[in-house]
Amino acid sequence: MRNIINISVIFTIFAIAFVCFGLNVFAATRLPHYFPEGMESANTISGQMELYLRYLNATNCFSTDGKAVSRMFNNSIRIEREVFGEKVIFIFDPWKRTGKGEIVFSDFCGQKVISQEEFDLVADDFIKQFVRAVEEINYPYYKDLEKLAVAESFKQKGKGLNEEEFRKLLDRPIPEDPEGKISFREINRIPPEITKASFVKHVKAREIHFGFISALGEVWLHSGVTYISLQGRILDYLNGDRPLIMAHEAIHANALLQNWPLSEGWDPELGASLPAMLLPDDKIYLSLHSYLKVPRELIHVFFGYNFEQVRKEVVLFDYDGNLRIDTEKFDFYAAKLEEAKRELLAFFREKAIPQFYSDPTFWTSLGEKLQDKNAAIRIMMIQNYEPTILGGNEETAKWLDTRKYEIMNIAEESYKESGQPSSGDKEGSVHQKFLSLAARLGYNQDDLLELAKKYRINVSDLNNKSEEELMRLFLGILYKENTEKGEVK
Amino acid sequence: MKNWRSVLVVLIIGVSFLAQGCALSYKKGFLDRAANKGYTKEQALAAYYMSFRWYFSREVEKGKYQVVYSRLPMEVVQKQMERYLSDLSAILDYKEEEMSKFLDIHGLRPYFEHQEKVEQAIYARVRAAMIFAKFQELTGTRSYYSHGHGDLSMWGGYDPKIFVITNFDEGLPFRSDVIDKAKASGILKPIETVRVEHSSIYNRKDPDPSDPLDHNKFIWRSKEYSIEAVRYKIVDDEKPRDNYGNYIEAFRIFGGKKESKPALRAFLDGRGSSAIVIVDDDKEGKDIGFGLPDSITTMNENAVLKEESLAGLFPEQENEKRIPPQLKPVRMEIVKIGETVSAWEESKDSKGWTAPEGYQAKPLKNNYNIKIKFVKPEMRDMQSVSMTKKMEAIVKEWIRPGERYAASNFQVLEFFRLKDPYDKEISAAHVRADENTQKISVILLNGEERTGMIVSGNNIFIQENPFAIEYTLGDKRYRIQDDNNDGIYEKRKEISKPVADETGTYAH
Repeated sequence: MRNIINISVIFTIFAIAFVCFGLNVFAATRLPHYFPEGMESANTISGQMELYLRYLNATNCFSTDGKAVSRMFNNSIRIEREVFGEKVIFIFDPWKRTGKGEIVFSDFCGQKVISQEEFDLVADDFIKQFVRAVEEINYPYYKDLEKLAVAESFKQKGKGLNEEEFRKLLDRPIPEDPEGKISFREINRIPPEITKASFVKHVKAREIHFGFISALGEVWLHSGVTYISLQGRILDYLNGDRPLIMAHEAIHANALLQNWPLSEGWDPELGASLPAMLLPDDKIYLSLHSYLKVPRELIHVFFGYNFEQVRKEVVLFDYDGNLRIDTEKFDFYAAKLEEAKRELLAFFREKAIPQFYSDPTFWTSLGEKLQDKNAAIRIMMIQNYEPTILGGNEETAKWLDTRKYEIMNIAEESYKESGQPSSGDKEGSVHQKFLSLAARLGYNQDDLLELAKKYRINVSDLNNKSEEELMRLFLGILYKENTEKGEVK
Repeated sequence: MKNWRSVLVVLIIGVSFLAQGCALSYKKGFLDRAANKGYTKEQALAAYYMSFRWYFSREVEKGKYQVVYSRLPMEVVQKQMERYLSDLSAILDYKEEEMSKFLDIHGLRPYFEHQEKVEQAIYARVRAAMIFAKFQELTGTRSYYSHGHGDLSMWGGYDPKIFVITNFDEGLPFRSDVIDKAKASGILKPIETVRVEHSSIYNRKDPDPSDPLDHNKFIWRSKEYSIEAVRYKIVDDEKPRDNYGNYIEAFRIFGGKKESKPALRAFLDGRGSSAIVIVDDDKEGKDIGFGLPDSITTMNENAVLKEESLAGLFPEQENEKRIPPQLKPVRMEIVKIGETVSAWEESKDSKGWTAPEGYQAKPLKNNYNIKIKFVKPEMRDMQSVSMTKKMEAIVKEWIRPGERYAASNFQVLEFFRLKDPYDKEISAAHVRADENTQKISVILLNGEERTGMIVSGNNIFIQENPFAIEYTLGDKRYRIQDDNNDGIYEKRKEISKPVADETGTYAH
């Protein structure tokens, strides 16, 4: 448990500490030489967690934690391949051919000579994993994104056009660019079609390193330079040989999905964890990894599953790093999560991700206003699911309905101050002014809230308005109200 | 290596995080308030999520919710864009050496340069939409009840449609019905035209791109602009009672040609007092966003046509300063004391180096003072008093015609070798400057004194052509030299400038 937390904290930026355990099926009968001997697999969360911890410790010679000096890879073995029509260079950092023609492998515990056959197995295995990550995991999940995002964008912006015309407009140059090189699609930040090649295409040949880093995988944004650690590969193997870490990094490296400045306005780690973290092969990621904190909260609020309670019941005691776990309860609870994973997997693919990419400028700005990079996901969730956190849907709905105006008030006040510097308290002045004005005209707070709802007014819209301006606005509403009703209050 | 990596990460994605500082989050604010009202943690979470439906969404049909885009103030988008542009400026700045290396290694500079233009285009639309709202407010053409969205909460909020406007005259019509009607009926008359021309060679100092971090190295940037502004008045009477305008348009002019849209438009109140001024900073065919306003302000009508207001139509763009540094070759040279080091630069042209022309006043070419350069005594001779001297050269110190104390163009000095016997040891020599600054007197070793003028052309004292010439060009001073007396100055070196101007002065 301690290791999981430590690793996940080290790299919160384009790195993944990704924990996965396998099923009983091994894709290859012979494993590359760097794998520990006597590998096992498991298909329960308790089994996967035990193996994860064991192999992370057993491969300590591949970890850079606290002991590694810098390394150079200029003379490491490199292999060029065409992948999905693009040139990719695979660089095997710890493997080098010496002047005598021998292949040596070095880690943080020593160096040894290996055969050409052994190296070939390392290289073939690694390259195959990379291709599978795109073909089997990422591409099927993102191939319809452009179509769905454009359809969503069309709903908001396509007035006067049909969807086909709107799509054509997106690829036309904007009139204010003298060079005619910027398209409407670019200023709307809607990605073009996601192809398999888009996961490998970069300005220069994509560089995939297999070597030593302080996490399990890392990507340098826009460059395509990707690192997968040996530990990462080993942990992927435990999970039915599904290349989940590679899939995560391949999304970071896809500049159509993750780029600057998009990476600033929302959570790129959660984005890169979709779909890999929700696949059924993995049992522990959703429960334990820091990148999945928000989905855990969504599952708690909307599906009722309380991770915190489960953790308290399952982790019985920690004897200086030696954990006593209630494995039976752990597996029982974790099995319930499979349905939630399926539901979220579909929700993100069909609704949330396309809606985000339909107008990233709006969602990233709103995230900034709310100081929450996951605001978009939270809003989309409540637009599609009913909360059940208070003992079920009916109980939750009843409790909420009786406090609707109070909740609206809290929302208004919180929204008004969000994004502001935390020092000082400026809230309330305009609000109070408005209330006292209304009171003088015989309207209490509940009346005002009704009117505000009807005219879709919020107090933050009225900031910086003088009392006179507020009065004009309010009188205008009263006039309209009384004209409609044919009466004067 | 770890540090190197973290620097890159910070530069790429971290700049904005730093800029954001510590701000209050909606979630924390909401949950704290809910807790204060006595909600349990789970009740607070339920209320928090439901607020996104009730406060941030609207039900467009039964069970279908849509986010209320206008809930987001446009200022938030504007600030975010400003930060992105600031970050991009840092990313593309050659002074950020680590970032520059990252961009160059991966061939990313063109991508980010393009991205900068994309962000500028987004920003231009966001700002134009905000200016348009302000324009409507100032002109009274929009109120809480009359704007086009039919929803009071839309006032000043985010409108997704601004990113699909194809015709700005229709999408963001910065117009006045009064002016349009007057123009259509032919009564909007030009009553004043102002033209401003400006040219400055040394407009501003920029860091020298070869070494941008050294503040003492710089290059000069020039600036030129030309603007024509016209004040219009609605004239529906043969003899108007006042000369107050109703509308002003100003155009930037390049190569004698006006841009197709005005850079400045001012809507006047017709009473000579206030003007609503809209300015487009972007140049046609050059900048992103031409045709979209960059600022709106109100000012006095008379201030609109002042030169300082119009000069603002030519702002200096940040990317004009972005010049790639030229890397100096890495070199190594070890010179021990006493070994010869040549500072001379050989000419690759068979005609050799030449001094700049124009310092000799034609046809006489006699605008010079004469000075004498003696051979420096050897160190050992300095221990005793020498009774003889030797002239190394006669120097023509070129001056402005008729002005003994004013150096010529380029501060030229010409060095002449002496003819026999003046190139030998002598007793003394001096310039008789009190009589004529071209007259010298030489006392030979036998005591004979010979006096004469150093005239231009053939002369008894000196050879016809100088063997060396020193001159100043720009910031630098050079010496060119002819070693073999063939009239070709085959080598050149940079020398220091004189500390003080001693033109026309002589030691007594």
